[in-house]
Amino acid sequence: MSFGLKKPLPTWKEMPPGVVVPAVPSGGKNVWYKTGNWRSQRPIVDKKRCTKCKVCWLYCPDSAIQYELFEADLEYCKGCGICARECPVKAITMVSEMRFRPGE
Amino acid sequence: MSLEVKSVDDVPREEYYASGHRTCAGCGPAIACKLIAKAAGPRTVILSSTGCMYVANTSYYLTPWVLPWMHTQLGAGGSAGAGTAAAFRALIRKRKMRAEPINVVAIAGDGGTADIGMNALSGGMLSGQDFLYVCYDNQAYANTGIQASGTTPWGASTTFTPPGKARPIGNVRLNKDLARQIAAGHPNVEYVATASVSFPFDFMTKVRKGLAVEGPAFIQVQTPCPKGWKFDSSRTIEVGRLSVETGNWFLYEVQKGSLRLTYRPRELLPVAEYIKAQGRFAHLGETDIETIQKRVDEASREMGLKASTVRAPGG
Amino acid sequence: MTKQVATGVVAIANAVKLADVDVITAYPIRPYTGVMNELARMIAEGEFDAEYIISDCEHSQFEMAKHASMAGARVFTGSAGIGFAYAYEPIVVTASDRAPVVAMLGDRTLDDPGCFGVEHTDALADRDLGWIEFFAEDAQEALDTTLMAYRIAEDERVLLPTLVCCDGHFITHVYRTIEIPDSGQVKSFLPPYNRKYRLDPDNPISIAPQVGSSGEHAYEFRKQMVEAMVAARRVISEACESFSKIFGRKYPPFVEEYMVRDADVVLITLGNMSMNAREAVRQLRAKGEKVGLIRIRTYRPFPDVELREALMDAKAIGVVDCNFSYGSPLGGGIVFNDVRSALYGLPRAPPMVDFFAGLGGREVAVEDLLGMLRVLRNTARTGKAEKNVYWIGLRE
Repeated sequence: MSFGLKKPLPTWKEMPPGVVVPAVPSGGKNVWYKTGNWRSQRPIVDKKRCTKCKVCWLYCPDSAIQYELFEADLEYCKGCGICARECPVKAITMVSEMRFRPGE
Repeated sequence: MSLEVKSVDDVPREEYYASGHRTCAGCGPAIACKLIAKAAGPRTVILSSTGCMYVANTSYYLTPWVLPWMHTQLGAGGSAGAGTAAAFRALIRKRKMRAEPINVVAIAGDGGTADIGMNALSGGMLSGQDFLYVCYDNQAYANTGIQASGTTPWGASTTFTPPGKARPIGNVRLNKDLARQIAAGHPNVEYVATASVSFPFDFMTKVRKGLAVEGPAFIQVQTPCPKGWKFDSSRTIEVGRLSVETGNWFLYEVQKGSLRLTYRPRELLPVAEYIKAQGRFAHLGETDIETIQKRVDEASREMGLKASTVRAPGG
Repeated sequence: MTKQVATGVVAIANAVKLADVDVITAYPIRPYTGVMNELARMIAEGEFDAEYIISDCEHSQFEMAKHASMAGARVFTGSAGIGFAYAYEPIVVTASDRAPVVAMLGDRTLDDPGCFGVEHTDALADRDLGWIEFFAEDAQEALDTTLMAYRIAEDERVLLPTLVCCDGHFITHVYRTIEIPDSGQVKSFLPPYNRKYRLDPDNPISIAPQVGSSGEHAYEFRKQMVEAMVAARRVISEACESFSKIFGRKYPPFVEEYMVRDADVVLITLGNMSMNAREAVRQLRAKGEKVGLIRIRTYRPFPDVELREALMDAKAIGVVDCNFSYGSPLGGGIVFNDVRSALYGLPRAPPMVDFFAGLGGREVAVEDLLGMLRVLRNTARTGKAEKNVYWIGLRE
């Protein structure tokens, strides 16, 4: 997990004309804008309670809950807590980042 | 492919609006963009007007969009949609492009639609071009720091309508009814709908219906904004749900001139539950909430919904 | 090739038809509306096929044009005067998005007061934004320039929107005999529009995201735009060369020189007034006076090299300005100051005089131009301009 990726600073000759940038490839994410270091709390999923209903996956504004794993992608999760609030079986708890060591 | 999205099993797995954007934690409009992209599918081009879903959404050298995407000026959403749709129509008809239709979706905020965008929206609807216009309504100009827009509700606090000793209410303008304005005034538009991110399947079905129509379509989706409406970022979906359950926001579609509710709360909750969940209404007193309740009651009656029988405490 | 008696707007409509334009966005404003009327008639009669959108205002009109262009369609639009001013926002962005829109401008006096007569300020006020600007002299040139505009704008080395400026009334409404080329000739001159970066689900891209506000990227884009204008010079020359070979009409790419090389006194004009200016020059030449005329055809990219080369031996230069620039250096018009700036640093910089004429649509008659040349003759004799700026025909 690495944040602070240096966004590319191309020369004027390297930049495509008309402010054009590539689209995110299918199945990919915006690798130049990882927002995981925004959060002050992270969702912890109790796998035993989870019924795989996918409500958390559906509502996540950052598409950070992964479809089959039902875990937050910590590189992008902003810790908003919608997943925990909406989970119908209360399988997700928001835990303060202070409880984790850096890099965890 | 059946249009209706009934449950999460009907929701495509693929992300066309990926992770990696600098919207606020819990951003309602971001959820809207995600759902629009899923409902529309890969053969879509997106045109975003300036606003949160442009400035907070995109960055150089990569954006979160997997779909082809282009920026347009604030207020130009209707023109962008019409122009792009016209290009595809001309190129397909003149055989300069293969004849596989492309969905054109113009996404703009409430400020960019109800205020500066009315011109272009109305013109775009009138043009008859085949595109869908989705207005994500977070009831303010959020990106510039929450200023009142044409859809900001009565009594809301924004930086242009701060409550104070001399002006205690905050926003005194009665907000425009965008969806019905479009439906009533543009007889050629075959699909107009209101939606909410808290009712995602209803919303996604509406996006698909709007795209299926041959010609322009308009959807106004209510997207609660934790920063603007002042509530905890985890409550976005909850606040949106309260908005509909209290009769503050209706979910309907207008086809061939007739309006049909797509969700009927059996019994409306008192609007105070919705109001008190948001900090932007914190300055309102009980009489103010009563005023809002009366307006909601009238609107709900008109919609054929049972007005809330539970009055505000003390009333 | 067919000959027809037509106005400038009809001539341009024919060029648009020959270019097989895909999307046309229309909004009425005098004096350019005729081109949209003619195009509507042509489409209704089945003479050619395009999507014709009636827009709600000039802002929407140019926005639609920009987006249709980025979706891969060849586009035509247009406006005039204060309408063009309303479209300022998309005008700025069409250039920075590098959308090769071709627009016709029926030059008209800017409001207030409302006035349908010609003035060039509407085009010139936006000269810094990145649009290539051509000023036609008559209906034939308007037609030819529109065809060339598509080729130049859509060239991969350029990709800049292009403005074909035509004097309101004097070009838009005056009947002339024009030669309309065959579509076969046009096909060999104009390749199909095939923009590499466009909105296409088969090759997704993102166009114009937000960039860093500490100058991380916008600065480099400015350089790209400048270089595109530099590249445009070459492409314009190539286009004129090719046009001359295929259609038989030779246009100088940047400036038209009329008896300039041995002239002591040179007048510089823009647009239709050049016809009368040429007559004035002919009359004085017949009397043995060494006078000449330069008509600027391409205003952006500005022909500084050509002007320096043509004018370095002149003894006096006059510029006819049909525009305004309040509070400008020396109180001069836009063309005067741009030419002065281009000539700055010449070892023997000739004295320059500015003549405001024709504003509000007032005719610039041969007599007026003869008067200007007389003033310049005196300037050449004394070596100094008595006054920097003259207001020809002002009631005072």
